[in-house]
Amino acid sequence: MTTAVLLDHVSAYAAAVRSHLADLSPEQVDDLTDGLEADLAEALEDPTGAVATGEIPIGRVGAVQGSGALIDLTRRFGPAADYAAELRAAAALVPAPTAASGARQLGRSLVGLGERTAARARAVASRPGVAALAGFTLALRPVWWLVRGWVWFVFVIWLLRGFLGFTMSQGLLPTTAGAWLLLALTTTVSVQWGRGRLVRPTVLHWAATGGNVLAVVLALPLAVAAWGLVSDRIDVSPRVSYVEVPVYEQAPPQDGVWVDGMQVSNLFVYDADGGPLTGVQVFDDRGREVRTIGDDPWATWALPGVAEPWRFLPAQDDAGRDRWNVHPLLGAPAGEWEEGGSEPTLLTGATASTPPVPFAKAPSVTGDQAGDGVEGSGGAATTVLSGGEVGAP
Amino acid sequence: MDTTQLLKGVLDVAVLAVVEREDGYGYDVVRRLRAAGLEEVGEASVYGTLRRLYASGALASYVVPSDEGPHRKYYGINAQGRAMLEAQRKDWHEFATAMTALLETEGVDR
Repeated sequence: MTTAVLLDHVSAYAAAVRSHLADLSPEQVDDLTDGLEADLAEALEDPTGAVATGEIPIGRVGAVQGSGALIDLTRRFGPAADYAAELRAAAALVPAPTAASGARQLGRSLVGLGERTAARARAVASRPGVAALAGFTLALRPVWWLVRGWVWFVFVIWLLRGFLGFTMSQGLLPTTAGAWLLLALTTTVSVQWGRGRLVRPTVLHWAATGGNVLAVVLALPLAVAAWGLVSDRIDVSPRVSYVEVPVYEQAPPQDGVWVDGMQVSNLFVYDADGGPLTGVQVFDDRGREVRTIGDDPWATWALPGVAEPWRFLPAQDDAGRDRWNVHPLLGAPAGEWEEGGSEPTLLTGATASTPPVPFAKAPSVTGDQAGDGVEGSGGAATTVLSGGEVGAP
Repeated sequence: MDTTQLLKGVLDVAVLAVVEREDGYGYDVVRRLRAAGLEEVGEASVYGTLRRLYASGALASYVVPSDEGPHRKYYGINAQGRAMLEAQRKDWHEFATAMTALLETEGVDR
């Protein structure tokens, strides 16, 4: 007889047995007859099996009826009803109450579902690979206890945030002695609970379960947030950061003469009586030439009250050198210059002239001061006025 | 004497004793009980007893899948089962000693 045919018979017999247990709850029937097919099949194939309570080992049935004969399992196991009754009696199971309220029915089926799920879980857990994995996971439980303690800590901080005024970063990682103390407390409670060292009355059971669920739900998002903080703090990888630092930079020295923040193109010198002077050489306290025209001698300058910009020429000393400190500089409007060459030259017929003076005559100065100021330099007091503004070079 | 009636009273401790030596599934327990001399033990009774002991927390259970056929449900003893077995073993010894003493006395008298 093939195994398949045998199993068909066994399945049919087991189904018959179950039908006689129909008054029990499905969970009870499952519990009572789980694995029944395997036991029946093995009993049938065991030729040495003793005949007991009217059972006939299939080996003997075959010997009596000849191989391949259709077997009547009731001859081996007795009527399915009797078998079911014996099973039920030995298991001391009472019939399920028939008049159960809907809610109770629902509750029972939920409980049954839980039991079946647990049974399946036990079945899965019994597989070698899964068992090994389960053992590994079990060894990691202390890690979970610590994580759970931390999640509780964060939750408590969050609950107290209005009172304590914590920022988010302070709420995730302890930054004060009090916070460390709280973290130590929640961690201790979590670990002790995990080790089963806490007395857990029934009233606390639900709180504990809630705490566990809370920790499971919050652990991952909080861990991500905390990792962001931690990695920000301990990040050692090179990272470009831009920090604004006020730097008081000294403006590079500018050539030329500046008056009240404005560069001037020319200086106008008046004597003590207020009369304009020409061809005055101006030096500073170190004997350097005071030049209004800087690096670009051919820049054009906007003069106050003059529409056309001007360009200036240096004076020449006896040796033929350019002297830019001889004021007022002479020049001509930009329109009178030849632009073609390497440097502009005055058009033929145009002559350099003194640009418009700010005023024809300056106020005269009183004698004492005027005399002090020009002692030994020709005997005439001078007044220096600037003129012109820098234009677009 | 109807040994099946006697068996009913001691099936629990017998099953516990068998499973204590080695984890077993339904028919395996039956075979070991029969091999031990309890020829008349009923299979369904053993299966029912295993379920009841499991339900009462004296046994652990796990399912081993089979390549060829239906899965087998194994039972193993746990701490509670061991305690139960120890207590019942003690009870049995007292009972058996008493019965033996009683029967031998009667035998001597006879």
